[in-house]
Amino acid sequence: MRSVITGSAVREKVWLQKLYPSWLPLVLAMGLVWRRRWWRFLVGGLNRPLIFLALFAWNLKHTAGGVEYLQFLLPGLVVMAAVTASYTDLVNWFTIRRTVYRVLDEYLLAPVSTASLLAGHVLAGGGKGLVVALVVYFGGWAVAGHFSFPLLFAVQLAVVCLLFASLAVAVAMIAGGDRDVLMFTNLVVFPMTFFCGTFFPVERLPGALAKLSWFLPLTAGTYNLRGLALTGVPHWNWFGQSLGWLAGFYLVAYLLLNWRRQD
Amino acid sequence: MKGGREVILERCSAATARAPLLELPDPFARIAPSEAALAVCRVVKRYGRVTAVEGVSFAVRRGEIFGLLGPNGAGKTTLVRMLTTLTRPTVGELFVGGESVSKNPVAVKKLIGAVPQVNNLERELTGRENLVLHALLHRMPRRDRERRITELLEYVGLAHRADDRVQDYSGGMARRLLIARALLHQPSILFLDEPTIGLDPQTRRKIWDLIQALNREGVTVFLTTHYIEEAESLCHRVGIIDHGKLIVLGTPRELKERLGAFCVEFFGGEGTRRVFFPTRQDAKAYASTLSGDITVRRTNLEDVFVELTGREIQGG
Repeated sequence: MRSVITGSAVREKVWLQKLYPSWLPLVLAMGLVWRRRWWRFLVGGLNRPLIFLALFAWNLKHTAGGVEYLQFLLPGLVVMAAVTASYTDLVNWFTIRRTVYRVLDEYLLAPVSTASLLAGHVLAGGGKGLVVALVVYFGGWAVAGHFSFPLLFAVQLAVVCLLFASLAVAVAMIAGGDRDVLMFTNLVVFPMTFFCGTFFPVERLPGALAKLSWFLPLTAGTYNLRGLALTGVPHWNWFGQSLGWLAGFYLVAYLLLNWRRQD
Repeated sequence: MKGGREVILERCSAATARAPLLELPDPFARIAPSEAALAVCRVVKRYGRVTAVEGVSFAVRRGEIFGLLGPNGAGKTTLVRMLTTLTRPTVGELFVGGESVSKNPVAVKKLIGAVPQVNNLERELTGRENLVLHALLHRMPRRDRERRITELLEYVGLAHRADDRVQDYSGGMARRLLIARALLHQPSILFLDEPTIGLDPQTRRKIWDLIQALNREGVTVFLTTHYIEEAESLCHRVGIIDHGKLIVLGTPRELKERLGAFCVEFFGGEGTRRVFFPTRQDAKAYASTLSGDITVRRTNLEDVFVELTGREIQGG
């Protein structure tokens, strides 16, 4: 008689077994949870951009950067939605699962490499951010019109989402709990969404602040997205800068995840 | 050469004097390498200035239920985390199934299943989805996966709640699902960290039945506990750990008999006192010389712990 526990069926090495990458189960698990609570995540992701849209666009009628303010603002709101949906949710998700529920241990116990573990979380978090940001973009398009949607826009937006998902993993690895996350988010990430050309051109900020803003990881992505949305013309320099930030944050997240794994 | 009783009494006096405990005899002397399911060799784990585990060595036989007994904060969970590849030792080496945990963690992960102390299931997912996720992480072929999930859900008595979300499970149900998840990829060694903590007595007994059934199927079980009854009724051998040090190791019977199989407990001038005797007759004879509230009973592992450390295990 075959035992339930030890089994007797020889485990076959089916080629299909090797087909999917190791990070896929992580993406599926997070996708399942998010699908089940999609309304909560969507409302959470759209909430802030909609409030800023109502506050700024319909009250400030002037032009910015040579275009109507509403048109200037929309790419900035898309960036804000991307950051909120890919960073905020993932950093909270990961921190609470690491420090309170210890779900991370289940992943660490599986024969899954650090690279796959990171890729799964970054792709799932970034993917969700991309979906929410695109909803904001197309919703804004329906209201304001006259936007382009070249392929590079989607790629640049995905880079921003993955960048902030990587930052989320990095922060979750060093945060002692949700209070640390809240402090980092309020001190660093939230101000960044204001000073990176999202609501006002960086050139209009006071001298030192303007110089600092050009060095923030979101600025190049915001400017490239705005240029692509308004004119369809890519700025490869800005795209390259975004990719550089993504590579840097991804590496930091990898090193911190590896450090946490060996702790 | 000193007998077991002398050794334990020597340790007892050393503990009472708060002096360093004597070294244990060679932990591998009675287990041939081919028999060992796992071995812990002079392992030290430090977190900054705190030493969680200090020079621990022991081996566990294939097919046995081995219990690590100790109060909260004794270093039990740290040892399990090191054995299950989750934490690296500061010094020393660990082997599971003949594989070095630090050098070949992937091979070790394939051999082991682990049930953590806390419920680390994905609460938003159903019981079945949690098992599917685990099977995917372990790259189980689809055909095996479906069959084993169905079988294990039946085995742990959760088939009827398989499609409910884990957040709606009771503590006992979550614990059974954790066991099912740990068994899904057919491990030969199962680690259970405080498997019945926080469970009611009835559920606790069901979990014990499950652990014994697993062991009868050939699974080596390594569990940590601070429940005396759990260690006594489940474990073939027990190691007692305190302040990160393994202070004694043996079968529950050996440990108790080294102290004396029977205990006379009475209230002395400085609080409750216990005196141990090899036979009930000796214990009764001694009790008859005392007055007041006196109990003659069998020695338990709590007594062993108290005699070695001067503290009670349950109080930590």
